[in-house]
Amino acid sequence: MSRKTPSDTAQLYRSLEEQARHHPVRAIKLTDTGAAPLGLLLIDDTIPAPEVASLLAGLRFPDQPRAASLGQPEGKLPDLAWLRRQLAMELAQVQQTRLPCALLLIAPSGGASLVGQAAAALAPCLHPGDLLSGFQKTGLALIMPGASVGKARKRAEEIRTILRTAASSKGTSLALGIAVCHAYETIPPDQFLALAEAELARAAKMGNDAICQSAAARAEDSCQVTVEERAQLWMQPRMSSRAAGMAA
Amino acid sequence: MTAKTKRSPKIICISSGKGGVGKTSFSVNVATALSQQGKSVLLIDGDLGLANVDVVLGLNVRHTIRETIEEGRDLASSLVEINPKFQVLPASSGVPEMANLSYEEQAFLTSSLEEIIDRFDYVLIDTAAGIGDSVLWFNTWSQENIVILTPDPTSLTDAYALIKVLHSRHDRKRFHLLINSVQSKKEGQDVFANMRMVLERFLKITPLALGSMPQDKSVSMAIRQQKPFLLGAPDSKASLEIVAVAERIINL
Repeated sequence: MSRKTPSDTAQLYRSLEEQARHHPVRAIKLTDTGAAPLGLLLIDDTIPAPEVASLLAGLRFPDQPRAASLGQPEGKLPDLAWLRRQLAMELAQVQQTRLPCALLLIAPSGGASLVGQAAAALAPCLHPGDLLSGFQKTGLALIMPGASVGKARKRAEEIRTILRTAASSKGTSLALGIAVCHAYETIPPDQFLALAEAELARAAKMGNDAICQSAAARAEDSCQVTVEERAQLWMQPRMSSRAAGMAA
Repeated sequence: MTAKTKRSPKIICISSGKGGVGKTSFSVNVATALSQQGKSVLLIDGDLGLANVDVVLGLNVRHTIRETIEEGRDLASSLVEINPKFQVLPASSGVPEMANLSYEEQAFLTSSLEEIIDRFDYVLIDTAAGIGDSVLWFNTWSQENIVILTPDPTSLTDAYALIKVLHSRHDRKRFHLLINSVQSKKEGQDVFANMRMVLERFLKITPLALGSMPQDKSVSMAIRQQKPFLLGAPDSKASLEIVAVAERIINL
């Protein structure tokens, strides 16, 4: 196999994962932390999960090793290319698992010098499955697989509190931008990143450590049943029948 | 590499918004009716933290979905055969952790379920009440969405809220409404007409009528006896309607 480009590789893995679904095996993605290649491990389904985890730990390949090396200078964090590759894979996973995926971009006002410090501060609050990387040298990107709009917003608020506490110099401000992808939409990784980036820019403009989320994500907050909807729902049956008849 | 030939079962999610409207009783009986019509059915107890399917069927289950999530146990080993055409995948009760599965656990459960469902014609999921993550996820994973409601204003509101969330956040458009505990066929028709009007006006979606289940003493008696009313009182109004509903499901 001579094809080496990330997109081809991602397609190959997707194809292998798809094939694996038809066999009694479990496909585990081994994600890289920068230069190392991606991998896909197929493990027989008859092996219990704890044993698999133990075996993988022994191989120094923890099951889905998503969190980047933390507490390191910013240069050690995975870069933008890595982030794009991970986004491509996670967005493909959204279609497979039908679970959403959120991307949170974080920009401390101190720029590059504060990014490493922020990454270290975030380490204790990362969830299993989270993917953290650098973003344009002055920020951080956190992929949160499975996070809905509400969850992503809550996580962003927690992260803001942690980073505020950790900020050594007074006057350091933050901006946080969120984009969320759902199974019903197909968003290319670059567009998804651009959505989050636009929200980050909006948050930076607003100041006051603002958290902004994309328009589509904001629209989701409007699910509350309105007074008008309730009034219609609670109409007397006779009234409703007549109204339905009139509507028809 | 030769892939196993897989069937594609119809996956149907049964939800309600409000609790106590008869989801589990409906699920168990419609699964029984489908099996009586020669269809192989898997009923998944999707109320992962407060399971009831085993209770309604009077089962003493040894293993549940929980063992698969926590210990990696093969999901197929938790299946309970009710009759040769009807199997149940039970869940645990009184386990808060199971009601809030993580992303990794949900993804693992998805792949585990996909391994066992291909042997069935129909996969029914009896979800928890409410609009929690697992409810939304099971509904999104399914091909068809059945929403059960009663004529009570609370049930109407919660059913509408569930549909609104599924439509707005997950782009679901096709909902089958089952009106439960109606005093008359007309009441069922009125409730459906009202809900349809509100859904069309505010969400621009037209629901489909799956039917209405009459208030019937045989239903509550069967629940206390822990067996499907379709078996305990096959000639009751509720049984006749559930058979008709099963036929409509086959024709979906």
